[in-house]
Amino acid sequence: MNNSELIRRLSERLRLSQREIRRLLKRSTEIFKKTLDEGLSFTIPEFGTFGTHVRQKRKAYNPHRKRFMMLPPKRVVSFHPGSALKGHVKSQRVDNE
Amino acid sequence: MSSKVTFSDLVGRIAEETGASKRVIHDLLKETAVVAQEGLLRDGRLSIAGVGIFKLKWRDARPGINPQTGEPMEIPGQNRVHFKPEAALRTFINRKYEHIKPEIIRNDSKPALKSKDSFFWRRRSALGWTAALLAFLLLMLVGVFSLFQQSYQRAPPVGEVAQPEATPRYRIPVEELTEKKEQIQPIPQPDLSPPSAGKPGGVHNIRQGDSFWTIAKAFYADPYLWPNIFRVNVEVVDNPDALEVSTTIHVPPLEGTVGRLSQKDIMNIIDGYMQAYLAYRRLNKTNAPYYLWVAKQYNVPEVLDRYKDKIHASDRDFILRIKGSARIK
Repeated sequence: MNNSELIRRLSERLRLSQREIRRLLKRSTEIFKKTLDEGLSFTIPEFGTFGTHVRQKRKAYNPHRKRFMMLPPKRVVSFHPGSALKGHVKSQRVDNE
Repeated sequence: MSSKVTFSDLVGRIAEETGASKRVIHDLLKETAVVAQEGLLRDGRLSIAGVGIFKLKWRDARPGINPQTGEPMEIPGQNRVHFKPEAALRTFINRKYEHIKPEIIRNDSKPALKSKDSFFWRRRSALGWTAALLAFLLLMLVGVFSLFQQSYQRAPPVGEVAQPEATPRYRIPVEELTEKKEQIQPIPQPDLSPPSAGKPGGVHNIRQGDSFWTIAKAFYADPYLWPNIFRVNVEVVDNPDALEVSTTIHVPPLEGTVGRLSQKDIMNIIDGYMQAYLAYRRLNKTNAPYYLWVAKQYNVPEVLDRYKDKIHASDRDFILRIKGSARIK
């Protein structure tokens, strides 16, 4: 499902115009981004938890060039699906490639 | 993990930002979760703009052990939700660390790792520069010193010359010369002087990585003179941008030196640029007219006249439109 389909479905369910849904979603994702950047995490019920954490620098081996390197630290966004979502999607295998 | 914002706080924040009521935002997010689940179940993937892509990944059944009873059992195959934040979000979140590049660890032995923590290792680039600077200063000192010595020692021979018959006269200059030679050597001239004029010309065998540009740089010390080399190799080289390895090309010598080219050199170079223009025009490269422009900038119309029939009308118009260019007939 892509973004436009998501917006269409949401506008059907909430009885709001697609334009309005699009605007609200866009602003929401901006808030998500801001919240994550402040180092805070948040949960969307029935969906999951978003957060950030810092991956420490680490030593890695490049097998092609046969040398070790120190990879820099990295700050990443994490998502943990909530138990409701996990339970729902658990058993049904879908071809998504 | 990091501290949390409650769902109601989040809803409050968004409502404040968008001007919509909390109720609407609350419903929106809840419904998003429902629709997202629906989409994941249907397509196995879901993308939300500004956030990223969620994907279901199937994990096959695998053997395991019941931790309570210790009995072997099979863990059934199941889906895992995988999330990849979109690139803009990733780089935004990581912007603080973005400038740090992976560092190659030279020696993997223990001592090398230990020495990494030392002051000298951490400051190695600064130390390197300091060392280079010191070495340079030292060379300068030696150079200045030897210059002094030279001028100091140049005086005595005059006295010696004045001495009659003590030493044969013709030998004195020879001694002076050898002395001079010895003393000139330690002067760090290579550090100060611009690159030397280069080799006078000759034959060059193309190796991997060579181009007219690098060859001109090596021979003439001025890469921009490459068309002068291309000019005499038109028969062997079709595309001046793609030299074939192990082709032998001739490098014509310059009469003058770079910066003081003779009239004939200039004529040759213009000819070279014209040849480059024709070659690029033949290959239909868009940079062709610029070579024509350069050739024309030398303001020697005789050479251009020789190619009069071969200049494309469109190129002629093109270079006329370049600001500050001389007129062409």
